[in-house]
Amino acid sequence: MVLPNFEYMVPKTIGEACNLLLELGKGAKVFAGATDIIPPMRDKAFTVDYLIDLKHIPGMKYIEYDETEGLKIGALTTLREIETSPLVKEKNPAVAHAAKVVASTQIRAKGTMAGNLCNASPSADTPPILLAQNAKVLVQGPNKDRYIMMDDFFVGFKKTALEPGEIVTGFVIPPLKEGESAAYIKHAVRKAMDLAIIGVAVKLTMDGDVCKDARIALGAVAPTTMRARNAEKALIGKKLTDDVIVEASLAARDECSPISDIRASAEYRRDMIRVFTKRAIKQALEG
Amino acid sequence: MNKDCDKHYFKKPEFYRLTGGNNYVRIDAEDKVTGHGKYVGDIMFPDMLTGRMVRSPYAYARIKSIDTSEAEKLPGVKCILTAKDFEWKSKVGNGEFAAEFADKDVLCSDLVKQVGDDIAAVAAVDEETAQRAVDLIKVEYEVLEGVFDPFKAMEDDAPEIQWEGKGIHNIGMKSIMKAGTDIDEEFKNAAYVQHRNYKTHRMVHAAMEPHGAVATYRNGEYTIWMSTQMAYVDQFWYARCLGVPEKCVRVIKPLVGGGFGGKLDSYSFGLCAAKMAELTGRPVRMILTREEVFQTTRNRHPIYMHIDTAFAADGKLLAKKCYHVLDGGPYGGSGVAACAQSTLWANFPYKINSVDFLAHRVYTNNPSSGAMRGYTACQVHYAHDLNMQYAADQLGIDPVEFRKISAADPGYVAPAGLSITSCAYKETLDTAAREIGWYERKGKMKKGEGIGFAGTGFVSGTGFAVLEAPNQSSACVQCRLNKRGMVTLYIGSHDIGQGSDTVMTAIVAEELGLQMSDVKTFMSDTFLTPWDSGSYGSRVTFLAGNAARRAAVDAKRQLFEVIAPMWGVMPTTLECLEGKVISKENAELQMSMADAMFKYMTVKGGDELVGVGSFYHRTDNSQYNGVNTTNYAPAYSFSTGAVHLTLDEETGVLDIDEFVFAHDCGRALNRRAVEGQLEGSIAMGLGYAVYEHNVTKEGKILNPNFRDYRLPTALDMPKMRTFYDFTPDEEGPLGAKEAGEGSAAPVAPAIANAVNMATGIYLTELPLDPEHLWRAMHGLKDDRIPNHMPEDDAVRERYMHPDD
Repeated sequence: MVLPNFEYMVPKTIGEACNLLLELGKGAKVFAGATDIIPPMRDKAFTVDYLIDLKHIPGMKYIEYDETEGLKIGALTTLREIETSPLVKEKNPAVAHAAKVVASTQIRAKGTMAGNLCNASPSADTPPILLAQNAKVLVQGPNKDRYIMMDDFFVGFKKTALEPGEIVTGFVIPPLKEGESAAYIKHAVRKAMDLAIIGVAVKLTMDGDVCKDARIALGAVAPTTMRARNAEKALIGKKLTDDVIVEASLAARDECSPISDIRASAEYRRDMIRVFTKRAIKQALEG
Repeated sequence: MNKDCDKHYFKKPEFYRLTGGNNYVRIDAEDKVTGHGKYVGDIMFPDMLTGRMVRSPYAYARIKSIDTSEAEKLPGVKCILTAKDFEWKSKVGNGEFAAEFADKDVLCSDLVKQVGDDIAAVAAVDEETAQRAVDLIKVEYEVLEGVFDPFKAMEDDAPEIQWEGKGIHNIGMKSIMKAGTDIDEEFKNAAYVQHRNYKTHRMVHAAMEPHGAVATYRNGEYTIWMSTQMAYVDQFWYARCLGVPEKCVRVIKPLVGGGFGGKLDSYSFGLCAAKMAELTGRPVRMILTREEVFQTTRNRHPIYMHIDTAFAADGKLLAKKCYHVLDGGPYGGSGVAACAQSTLWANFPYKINSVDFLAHRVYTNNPSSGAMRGYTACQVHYAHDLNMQYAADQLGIDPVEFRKISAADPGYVAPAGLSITSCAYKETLDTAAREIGWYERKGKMKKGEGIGFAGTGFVSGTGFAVLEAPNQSSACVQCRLNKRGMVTLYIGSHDIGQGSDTVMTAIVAEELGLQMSDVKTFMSDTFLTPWDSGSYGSRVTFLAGNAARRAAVDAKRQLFEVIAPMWGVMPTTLECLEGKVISKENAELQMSMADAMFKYMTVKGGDELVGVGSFYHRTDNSQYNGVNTTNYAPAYSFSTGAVHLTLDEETGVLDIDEFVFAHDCGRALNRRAVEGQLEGSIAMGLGYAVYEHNVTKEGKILNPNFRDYRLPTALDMPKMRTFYDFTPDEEGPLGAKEAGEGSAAPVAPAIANAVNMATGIYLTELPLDPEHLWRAMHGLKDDRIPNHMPEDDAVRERYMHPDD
């Protein structure tokens, strides 16, 4: 199978990249690892006239941490770098885990978390953990830079809040403070190289036995990664007994809206949201 | 030198140096590891064109017109073929014996019968141009209503996909096996009778190398490098379909990256490559995409099975009736034999008094089905072993003991004529039970935890009457020795990755007391090597291995007949060992092979020494003429799979922590190769059982890619332990039997039986993926897999016993 013809552009600065993207319009796409670009191009799922390679732009490949802002990850940082980073594993192990369950080692060595996010697939593995942890997405546009909260990043199936010419440059994930913990569980048929049937990410803020705050994000059960707000409400202000956890998992089950497709039926997905919401809450509680 | 050759010259096991329990390296290992080996896709010519096929998007439609004019105008397009380029020539089939059953047009001119059916072919200067030309060819269709359920296809008002106009609609193949005592009496007198239905799903071989061909045409001859399991059968069909004698068709099999039955059929793409090479005068390469491999080659038959079984109170199997309905897709090909064999597996490897089996292979507009690792053994053993497990539980007998009650013994002759030689089936059951810890763990397992067993048997060296050959020989080998004591070996057998070239080389080196590097092997080239019918039916090691052994022994005998008189001893007292000819009786009499050959050639006036060998299993064609009482194979292999697993009862996810596999393959000729085959069988069997499923909608495969068609990964594999040291087979080459095909069959039923123990649920379908098991535990029907065996006995009866 051959790829259709396209122009390959290599900007040296982020500003140049943004201008190219704006000027070239709809037929242009930016890429880093290209793992979500090449296969659909080959399958003619979409056509691309211009591919803009971001890999030669300096300053976008980093993993840093500070106590106030938290974990900062550059857009060109690969999933494999995130997964294996001692700093990520120490400061936010759920992020390392979410990176690790994407596709295969080979794909993670090329693909980035920014790409996983911008592809905006509802079944992607890393958006739920970013959404549950209320991460900020750093964005550079042709004229200004800004950030978008994860809650506002997805606007529809395969659609993001990025404006024409805007490019994601990194993420900031708030620090896990005393009493805070997070977890992500992916449910798939294979142990590697598989797309999620569903995914559940949880962040809990505990004060002793009592849940002060909770954020739960679900993957592959709606047009976008979604918050399970009723499930969160079922936890907040309560002691997290088994009964309360079950109640939250039932709420998550009821508020998601999965479809049936080649990978699973809607009814199976719905019940798996119940099972894995429960398990993810427990896993987060265990730290 | 055929089956009746002088066995006095066969080497005795005490003189085995190479195959007596050793590992040795494949002869193609370095080429493959370093990437120097040549597969079809590596064959390049400077002026080579790339070919692509134009295929039907519809499962059933009438072609109203084909307009190639725009494509012809595209610069770089060199050739476009349509049906008229193959007019008045043959259709494509499979068995040479049944050329009149050929039912596939090389290119369709009127009806397309499956998604991806072949309509036209293009050759262009590069792949991109060829694909653009394909997109420019306009085909107008009248879309017809197809049939996708084999039971609906048998109804009187079903579309006639392939039908002779009499009998039940759309029956492509009907197989019967009926023998033994009065079956109605057996059922009447039985202590326990059960009636069960089973259904299996559609999968694909997913060989790592996609199908492909490179063709040239020079001096009035076609040369086709083909990713194939049967070059000589391809030669037959290519000659017929191209309208030339076989002397004009040379098929060469280069390295092949897996076949598993998917490369047994001759496909239109290769024929089109050959024709376009002729018309353009340039080499043409045609490599299928993965999607084409899924949709347009062959799939494993989905089968619907109804089984009635009668048992005595002590658990002894008395009689069995069964009805198999195979979804064949629109074409026959290798699926014809698959149907006949579904009756063979139906009670194997058990003793029984009476059988009455019927199988219908039905034409539908689904993707074509064909042979796949076991022909139909994986599907049929799945149903029939689950059927045994169900009976064991109903009668309250331990599953291992229950299988042993009726297990075949050495020397057993089944009612329908199947004759067993060596047989360690009971030993495989005992070994698997012991190694999985059955007797320690039995009755002590937690909820959700289970151990499952499954026992199966398979042919070793098919003797099917699918070939027309002198004296039914089906594997021929020649072995030439020169004055350096070096061997050139010519084998027709097809190494498709399983390592048979290495085994043939080792067998000849063993018999001649040489190192493998002394034997230079040439293989699978219809103008160079002797005839061989192909890699299928677990025939290669047994038949071609025996032919190779006979070729070496024929050479050895001729050599000894020259050397022995010089030493004043009998020829049969000599042996070849460690590079020398030796006397087994007098240690002082010995000579290097090079010296011995020099003396031989001196005596023979300079002639080099040539040994020839062939082998066959004599049978008849009764399996295809409605009676089906015959002995299919010269030997049979036996397997027991045992699995320990834990089921996550909330999610349906299986945690398979151990798989024990005991396989009776006679003497293992290369231990590492046998282990590789058995572990590969577990991987493919696990894929069949849990992971792999071609989901179709109106004949279109919805997941023709490795993203959504999930092969198990290394991480999904359980811990595996294999056991295979059982009795050598007397007739097998150096005692060997098959070790790579039937071994895939016990995996799925062992897993299903373990799930049964873990949950109490008797599964009847496949695949056992998490959602299927979740549905089973919630009592929900799995409608992701369409079509069901009619529950109504009357409906089934109508097809089993039609009025005509």
